[in-house]
Amino acid sequence: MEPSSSARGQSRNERYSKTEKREGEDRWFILDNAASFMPALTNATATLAFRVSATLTERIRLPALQEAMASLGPRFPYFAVELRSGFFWYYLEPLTDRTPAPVADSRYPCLNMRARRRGSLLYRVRAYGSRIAVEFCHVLTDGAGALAYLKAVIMEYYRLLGVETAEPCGILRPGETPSPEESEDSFNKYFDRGMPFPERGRKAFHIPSLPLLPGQYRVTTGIIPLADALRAAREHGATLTEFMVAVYFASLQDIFRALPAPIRRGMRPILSVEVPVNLRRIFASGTMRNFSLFVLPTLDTRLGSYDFPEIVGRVHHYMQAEVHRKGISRQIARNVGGGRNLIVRMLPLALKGLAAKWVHSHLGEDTISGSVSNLGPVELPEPLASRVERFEFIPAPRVRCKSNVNLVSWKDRLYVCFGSLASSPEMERHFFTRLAGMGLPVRLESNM
Amino acid sequence: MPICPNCRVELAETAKHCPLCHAPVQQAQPVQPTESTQPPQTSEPGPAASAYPELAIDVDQFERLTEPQKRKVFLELSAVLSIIACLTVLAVELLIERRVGWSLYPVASIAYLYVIVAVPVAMRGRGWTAAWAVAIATPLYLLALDLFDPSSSWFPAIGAPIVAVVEATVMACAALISRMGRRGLNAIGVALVGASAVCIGVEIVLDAARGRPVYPEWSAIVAITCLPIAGALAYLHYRVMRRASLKKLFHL
Ligand SMILES: [Zn+2]
Repeated sequence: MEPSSSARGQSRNERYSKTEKREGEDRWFILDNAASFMPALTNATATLAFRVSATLTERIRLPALQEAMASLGPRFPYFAVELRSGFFWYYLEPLTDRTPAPVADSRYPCLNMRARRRGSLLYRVRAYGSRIAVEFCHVLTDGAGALAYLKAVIMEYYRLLGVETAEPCGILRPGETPSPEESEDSFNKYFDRGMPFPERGRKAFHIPSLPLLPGQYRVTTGIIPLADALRAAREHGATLTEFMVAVYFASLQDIFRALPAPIRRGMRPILSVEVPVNLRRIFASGTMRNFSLFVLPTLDTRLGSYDFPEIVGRVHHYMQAEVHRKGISRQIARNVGGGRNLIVRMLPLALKGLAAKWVHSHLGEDTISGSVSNLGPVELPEPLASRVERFEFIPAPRVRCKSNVNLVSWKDRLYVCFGSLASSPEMERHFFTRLAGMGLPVRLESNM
Repeated sequence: MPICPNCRVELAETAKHCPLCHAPVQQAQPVQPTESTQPPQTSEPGPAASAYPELAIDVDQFERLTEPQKRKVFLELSAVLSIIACLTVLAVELLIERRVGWSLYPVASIAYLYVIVAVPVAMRGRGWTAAWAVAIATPLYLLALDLFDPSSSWFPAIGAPIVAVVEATVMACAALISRMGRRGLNAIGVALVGASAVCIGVEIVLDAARGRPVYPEWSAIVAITCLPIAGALAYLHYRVMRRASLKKLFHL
C-alpha cells in the first residue's frame, strides 16, 4: 500500500475517533462504535447496565460520598450526559446543570435504568452498608471505564475523610482537565480498512429455563481463594480466564446432556461462550469509552461428550489463537466498517433501530449461549487498598443468554459473580459444584 | 451519626430523611459502639443475608410525584381552570350586555362544583370533615341561586328544609352504616329506612310551603313498601345469612 493512502486513512481514523463535537457554544458527544446501536436494544430489564462495586472496611458516610461524586462530576464530562435521538444516530447531550448524586441500592441490581428516557443519566452510584456500587449502561463505557470511575470515587471519598493518597497513582482526580483521549472512540482509531471480516458465528444452545418474574435479577457471588484458583488453572495448563470459561462450558454441557433426549434433539447442539477482551491490553488507549470486543470459543456436542481436560485444552488453544492484534483487527474492521458504510449511515434512526434489533438477535444473542468476562486483578495504591474489603463485577441482565458470569480478583480472593434471569439456578449449581469438586473452597452469597 | 435503616449508611448529623431511600431518620438511635472501636474485619466479610437490601428499589420511583404532591397539583390546576372559566363567563356578559345577571348562575355552579370536588380531595382520609363541608356548601349554593332572582323566593320555605332533611338523613344513615360490624343486607335496610324518611320529610315540607294541612300521602305509600322490606332484610341478615357481607353476596 502506498504511504499517501495509508496516511490519509490515518487522518480519517483520527477524525472519526473524536467523539466530542462542538459547534459554537454547543457541545455533544457521539456514541462509540460498539455503543452506536445499543440504545435501540435497551428496556427496563435488558438495561445493558453492569455493575462494579467496592465494599469498604467501614460503613459508608453518605455526605462524603455525595461530595466526592459532586466534585468528580466535571472531571468526567463524557459521563454526565443523557441519550438523545438524532435523525441518523443517537447522540449524548451534556446534562451540565445536574449534580451527580448517589442513589439507593436495590435487592436486584442493574435493573430499571431507562437509558432512552430524557433527563436520566446512563450511570449511577449506589450505596448500601459499606458498599459503593457503580452501574454503567454499556452505551457509556465498558468494565475498564467503570472501574476507573469507581477508583476515582473511592480515592476522592477517602480524601474527604482525611485519607490522602500520594500523587502519581494512576487514578483520575477532580480538578484535572479531562484529556481528549479519554472520550475517544479507539475502535475508529485502530480501524484497518484492508482487513477481511471474521466468520459469522453459528446458532448456539440456550439454557432452557423459564424466566424470573419481571423486576427480579438473581446475582450469586462465589468467593474463592485466588491462589487456589490460579493453581487449579495452572494444573490444567490454562490461564484463570480460560479455566473459568472451561468450567462454564462443562456446566453448559452438563445441562445439555441432562436434558431428556427428545427435548435435546430440538435444541441447537453448539455451545458457545462469549469472552470479552479488554482491547486496552492489546492497543495503546486511554479511552473511558467502550474498548472491548469478544471472542467466541465453541463446542460442538454432535462430536460427542467432552471431559474437562479436553475442554480446557480446546478453550486454551482457541484463546491463544484468537486473542491477538490480527484477529481482533478483523472484528474492528467489521464493526467499524459497518458503521462507515454509506447505506448504513443514510438509514434513518428508527430503521437503524429495527436493523440493530435484528442483527443483535440473529447474529448476537442467537450465536451465544452465555458469557464469561474477567475484569482481572484490581489494583489500588495504599492507603486505599487496606480500606477496601472486596470488589464485585456483576454482568448486565440478558434475556436470551440468561445466565452469565463475571470475574474479578482483589487481593487474595477471586469473586465469581453470576447474574441470571433464569428462574432455575441450575447453571450456578453446576458451575460451583464443579469448582468445589476440584477441591476449591467456594463460599456463596446471593440476593435470592 | 444517624444510620438509615434501609440503606445502612451513615447520614449527615442534621438529616431528617435518608437522601437515598427517603426513609425518615430515627435520631434517638445510638450508633453501636462496636462499629467504630473494633478494628474492621478483614478476614470474613459480612454475612450473606446482608449483602443486598431487602427491598427491590427502582430509583426513578422517588422522582415520581407522591400522593400529596399529586393532590396539590390537582387542586391548584382545578382552581386555576375554575377561576378562568368564571372570569370568561363574567367578561362575556359584561361585554355583550354591559351588566352582570345570568353569568352569576354559571359562576355559582362552578364554585359549588369546585367545592364538592376539591374538598373531598383535599380532606382525603378525613371523610366526615369533607362531608360537613359539602353539607354546608349545598344550602349556600341554593341560597345564592335564590338570591340571584329577586322576583321570587323559594329558598327559606322549600330549599332550606329539603336540603336539611336530605342531608340529615344521609348523614344519619352513613353514621349508622359506618358503625355496623359487618355490612351486608342490614346496610340496604338502613338505606331503605333513610329513603322513606326523606320522602316523608319532603312531603311535609311541600305541604307546609303550599299552606296545606301537613299529612303524608304518597310518602306514606313509599314508607309502607320500604319498611317491611327493610325489616325482612334485617331479619335475613342477622338470623338467616349469619351476617354475610355484601362482598360475599355479590362477589364484589
Ligand atoms: Zn436510606
